[in-house]
Order: sequence, then C-alpha cells, then structure tokens
Amino acid sequence: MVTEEELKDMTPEQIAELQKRNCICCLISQGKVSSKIIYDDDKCVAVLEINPANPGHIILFPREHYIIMPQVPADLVGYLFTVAKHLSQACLRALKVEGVNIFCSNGALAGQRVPHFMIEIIPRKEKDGLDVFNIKHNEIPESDLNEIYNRLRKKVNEVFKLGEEVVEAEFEEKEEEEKKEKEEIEKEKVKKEKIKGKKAKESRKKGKSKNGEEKEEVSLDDIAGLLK
Amino acid sequence: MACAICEKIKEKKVYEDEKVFAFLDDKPMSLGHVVVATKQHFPIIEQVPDFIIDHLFKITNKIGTAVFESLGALGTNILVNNGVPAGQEHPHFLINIIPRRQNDNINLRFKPKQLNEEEMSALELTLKEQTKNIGAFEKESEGPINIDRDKERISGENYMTKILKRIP
Repeated sequence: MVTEEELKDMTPEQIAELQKRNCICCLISQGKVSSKIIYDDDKCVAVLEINPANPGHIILFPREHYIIMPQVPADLVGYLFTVAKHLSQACLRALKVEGVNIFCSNGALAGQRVPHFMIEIIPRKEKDGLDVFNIKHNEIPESDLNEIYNRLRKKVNEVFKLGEEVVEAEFEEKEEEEKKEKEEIEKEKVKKEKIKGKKAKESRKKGKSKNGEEKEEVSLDDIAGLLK
Repeated sequence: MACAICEKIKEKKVYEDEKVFAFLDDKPMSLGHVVVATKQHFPIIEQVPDFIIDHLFKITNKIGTAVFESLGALGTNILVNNGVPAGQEHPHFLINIIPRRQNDNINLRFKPKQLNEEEMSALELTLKEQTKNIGAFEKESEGPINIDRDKERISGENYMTKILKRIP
C-alpha cells in the first residue's frame, strides 16, 4: 500500500497511474480479476454486478480508464450507449422482464461507487421494490426555471459553439448578397449608359450632317459613358 | 393520443438539431433537470435506431458537461427509465440529466439482492446467449434510397430479421 506521505510527493500523472492500478474495472478488463463477463470487445466490457439490485444487473464500462462521463470522448460515449441499448434488448429477451433502467452516476455525490465511468443496466419487473429510480417531481417557481434556463442556455451555446458565430455568418451572407445586388445594379447602369452612348453616337453622326450645337452635347455624354 | 413530449418540441428548448432536442423539465427532479429526447416518436429505447442513440448520447454528454459547469452541480445522474415497471412516465423515449447537490433528497442507492453462485452462472449463460448478436451496428443510410439494404432484408441476411426468426 502507498502511505499518505508518498501520495503527497507524487505527480498527478503518477496518482492517475496508481488509480488505474487499483481500479477494479481496469483489473477486470485486463483479466486480472475473474468476473462473469456478458459481453466484451476491444472498447468495452460488460459484466454481471456481484451485488445486484435485481437479477441480471449488468455493468458496462470502457476498457480505457475515465472517471466521469464528461471526460469520455464523444465517439466512445455514443458507442457505449449503443452497446447499452443492445444489452437492454438482451435483458428483455433473456430475462422476460418488462422494463430496464439504464443509468450512470457522475461524482461521489451522485452515488458513484468506483472511480471508473460505468453504465448500469438494471432489469425491472412490477413490484420489485426498486422504487429509488422513480424519483419524485417537484414544483418550482417560474422565475427559478427562467434563471436556470438562461444560465444553461448560455453554457450550452458555449459548449456547442453556437450563438454569436452563427449570427455573424448569417450577417456576412447578407452583406455578400447586398454587394452582389449593388454590383448588378451598377452593371445595369453601365449597360444603360453604353446604350445611351451608342444612341448618342448615332445621333452625333446624324448631328454632324445637321448642326454643330447638338454635336457638343453628345460628345459630353460619350465621355461620361466611357468613364463609367 | 397526443404525446406530451412531442408537444414540447414547440416550447422553449435548451438545445435543438435535426434529430434531437433538449428542454428543462418544468416539474424537475432536482434544480436544472434537463430532458433530452428524439424528435421522432419512439416509445422505448429498443425501437430507436443505433445511429440516433449514438448521436443522442453524444449530445447528452455535452449538455451534461454544460450542466456541471453552469448550475453548480457536484454530480450528475444520467437516467433512462425504459418501460412502465422501470418508472417510465411518457410513451416517448427520453434521457433525464439530473444535477446533484448536497442534501437534495434524491437517493439512488438500492438494497442489493443476494444471489447464489448457481443463479449467477445461469444468468451469465442466458444473457451471453443474447449478446452474441451485438456488434454490427445500424448506420445512417447516406443516400435517399439504399437498394442494397432492401436486398438484405428480403434475403434474410439482415441482423434484425435474424432476431425475428429466432422468436418462436
């Protein structure tokens, strides 16, 4: 065993290593502790709980050592719960039960017993005395609900990187559209002026034969048309 | 019958994308109780396709992280009540994210049942028999029409049809 003094001198990496060495789940996954393995693959292991809430209580955990759910990579979370779904299906079929509780606890306060992230799958029958999962609903004031909503919404946007950036992107698109519209309008203007210029040239040719005054006016229009 | 969760899609949401949405329970189990559900109506988890489960729990994990960081929770419980005996309240599959604090009157500690070695071994065998099929997970089809998948279904090679045949 490691004494407390030795623990103080250890780096966080060493402590993590120590936790891994003493973690029952890691030992099961390495085959160092015998257990009743229901399912296993290269990413996860599912075993029967020794002290089950109900017969058929399964514990599913990743082979890699993670303590709580937020530390687990997204792909692995998705994979683990997909396996959990199939294990739940297996319970329904094998044990002839009518329901299943799937739950995980993050943090000692939430009832986590082992410092290794795990999903528990508990087969349920009517009147099996496991009412702990039927958690009571409470009435809370609307104002509290709103405050929680605002705080959580802000954080969720941060976590998913939503919100401000999206608005900016939309804004940019609008700007681009406006630019395009302006360009098109200007192009049309240029076209009109070119046409004007052509007409002016034609009239100038006519004007040459008729009188000198008209000729000067026409030539100004011509220059303007060229500039634009 | 109208589903209460399907109705919630129209109300205030914490998160939303094309497959899933999350909202605050207005009668929470604890302060900040978030419910994550699929937009499509599935009564139980076994009916939800694998690729939606995958996506759903990825989102749940992220929202769980946000709950930790924003609501001063010291722990969270992710709870799925699947089936009426398990305490399911609505005929729509959903995930509860329950933030936990000191003295919140929630107790998920159960009284363990004692089973003897024989019973445990019998359970191991029957469950192992059923988990042989786990492995090939259903993926989201990319094209609008997937002819190969239909062929599989007809020829009986598909995993789902194998299961159907097994039930006497």
